[in-house]
Amino acid sequence: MTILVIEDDQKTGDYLKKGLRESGYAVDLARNGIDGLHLAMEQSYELVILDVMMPGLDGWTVMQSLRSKQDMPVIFLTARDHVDDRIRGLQLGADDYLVKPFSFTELVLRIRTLLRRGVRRDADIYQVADLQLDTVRHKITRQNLPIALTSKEFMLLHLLIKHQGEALSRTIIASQVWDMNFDSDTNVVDVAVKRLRAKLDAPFEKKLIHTVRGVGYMFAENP
Amino acid sequence: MNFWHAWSLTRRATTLFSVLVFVIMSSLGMYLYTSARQALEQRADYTLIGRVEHFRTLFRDLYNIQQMEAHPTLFESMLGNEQDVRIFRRLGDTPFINVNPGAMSPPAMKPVELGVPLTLEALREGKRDDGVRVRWVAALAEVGDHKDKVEIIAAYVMTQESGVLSTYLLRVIAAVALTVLLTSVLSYLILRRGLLPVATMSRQAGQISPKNLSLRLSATDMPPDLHKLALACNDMLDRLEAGFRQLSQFSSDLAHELRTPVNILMGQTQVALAQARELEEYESLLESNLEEYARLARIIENILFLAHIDHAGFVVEKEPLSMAAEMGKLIDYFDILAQERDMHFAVDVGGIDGMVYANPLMLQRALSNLFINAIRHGQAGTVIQVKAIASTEGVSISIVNQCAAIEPLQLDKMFDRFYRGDSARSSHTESNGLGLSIVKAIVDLHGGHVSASYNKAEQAIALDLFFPG
Repeated sequence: MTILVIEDDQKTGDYLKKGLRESGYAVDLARNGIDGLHLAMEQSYELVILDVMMPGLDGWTVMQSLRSKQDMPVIFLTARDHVDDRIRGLQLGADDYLVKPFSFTELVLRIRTLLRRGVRRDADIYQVADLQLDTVRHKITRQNLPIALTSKEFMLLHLLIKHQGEALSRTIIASQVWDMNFDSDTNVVDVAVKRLRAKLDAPFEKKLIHTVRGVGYMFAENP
Repeated sequence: MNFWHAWSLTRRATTLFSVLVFVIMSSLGMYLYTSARQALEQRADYTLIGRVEHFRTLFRDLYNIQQMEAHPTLFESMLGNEQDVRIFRRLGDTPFINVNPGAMSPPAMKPVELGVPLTLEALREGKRDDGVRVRWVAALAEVGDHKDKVEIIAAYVMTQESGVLSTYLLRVIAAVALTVLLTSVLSYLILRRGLLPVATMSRQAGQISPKNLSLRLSATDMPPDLHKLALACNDMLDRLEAGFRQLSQFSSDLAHELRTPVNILMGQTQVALAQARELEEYESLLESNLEEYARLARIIENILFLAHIDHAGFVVEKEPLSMAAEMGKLIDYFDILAQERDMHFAVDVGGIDGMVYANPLMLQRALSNLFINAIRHGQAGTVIQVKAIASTEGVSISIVNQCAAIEPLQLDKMFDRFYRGDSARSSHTESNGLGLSIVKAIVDLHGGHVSASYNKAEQAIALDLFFPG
């Protein structure tokens, strides 16, 4: 799983490389558009992360040249958030688009989504440790004891369990569960998770929902 | 006409005045000159007719032509001045009296018959070699009882008249020239003086700059037409000054707003670095830092959003949305938060059919901000009333909740950027004072309006939004 990062800003490039390595990817870093394009043409990458505003050869141009030869997924990173720019990026064939400042966790989540797109299918029944979640019958049991959840709590748990082992950011949770598509500067997600925990984790010894500091929440048997 | 554009108003008006005066004066001069000439010509014509008639009468009373032929000098010297022509001859014969100082040849004309009186129609026009006009006439006359016919050819040379006329013409030209000159000079002086307020105005306008935006044009001693202009300029300056103030205020508020999180970041990081710490301490520091970064990012995001909306030409993509569905989603989300403060929502969306024509993300954002405000600043344990009424004009949404008293002055400022109702109460991490200004910006963008009112009896604040259909 090799990712190519094309980013002219020193610090951004460095932390992306470090963070992605620690997330389990092999990373090549190009400091400008010319080197980046060259690398992308010479070697095969699973995915490219491409900065738009670069001196010399900008991201749009790199994208154009890239698309004429290769068909790997591309995520644009940009400080420009005009709708026009977004449309332009996607029209050029980018698969995703992140506006700076972006959350690193979100970037990793999106990379994962892009890399496994079309492969994964949702299960009907999840079994994690002593917890069982039946999505068809909307039933949750732990140690065979039924747990009553509201529909939103059920959706939240379903989301967490679907992505077990992945840290989910509050923004993504709010968007997936409540269809709130912007940072609303509230702690609704924290309150909701707190309630879910009270019902799901509090009565039992083994905790399944974990707080990932500075990021969000994760569902895992062994954190 | 490039030079015309380069000319000052004074110069243009002066030129136009001079042209006008020149046209009027020369027309008048030409008219007077022409009438004088006509009068003189008429007088000359009658003089000529009178003379010839006189000769005709004279001849009839005379004895015969022989006598005339015998005394030519008598007739030659008779009447008229030196330039005039008098030719007497028998029909078809050489003249027996021929006074023709200029040796002019008469034009072809038919002599006026005997007994027919001379009229102006019988006269013919001619010209001497030096250009002086000459009036010709020919008539037949009877001499005595012999019934001899004599042809009289006479001409009147308008020497004196043309002298008089050319002098007159010169005077007319001189008068026109002098008048035009005087008009130019005087109108230039008058205009320059008259347009002095314009110069004053431009001098005053020249002194206005961002540093002294409060300066205004003095409209009081301006003439009425410029008075209006000065007032309009002053109004414009008022608007610009208000906008400028707002912008400066916004920048300083923004700087202040950004300074706080940056200060926290710097401070706590410096404290942490001052000595070696436990791993957990570093982790919690980084976590705390992350919260501050998130706050900074949100402030930037909000400001960028406002800047985009402010940008002229921003077009919002609207679509019809079900009021019930949108409200349901939001209440679902915020209900969790409200319950924390023991509050709950009472929603009345006026039936399932209520549709609002808006951008879904923006509507969500505007209403979210209102709900967050209501939950944060409302009295714990009360009800947040949400009402949406759809009409043919559009949708009115009203959010009412109990809260501490708010002064009317505060209500007015509520939608200003970075305004905080109570700086002591709203804890820094919760709000950045942009929530309601974003609500207003979104509603404005949809062509609607927002208002806030406080009901003292019920101790409740009502925020009303209107989205046109």
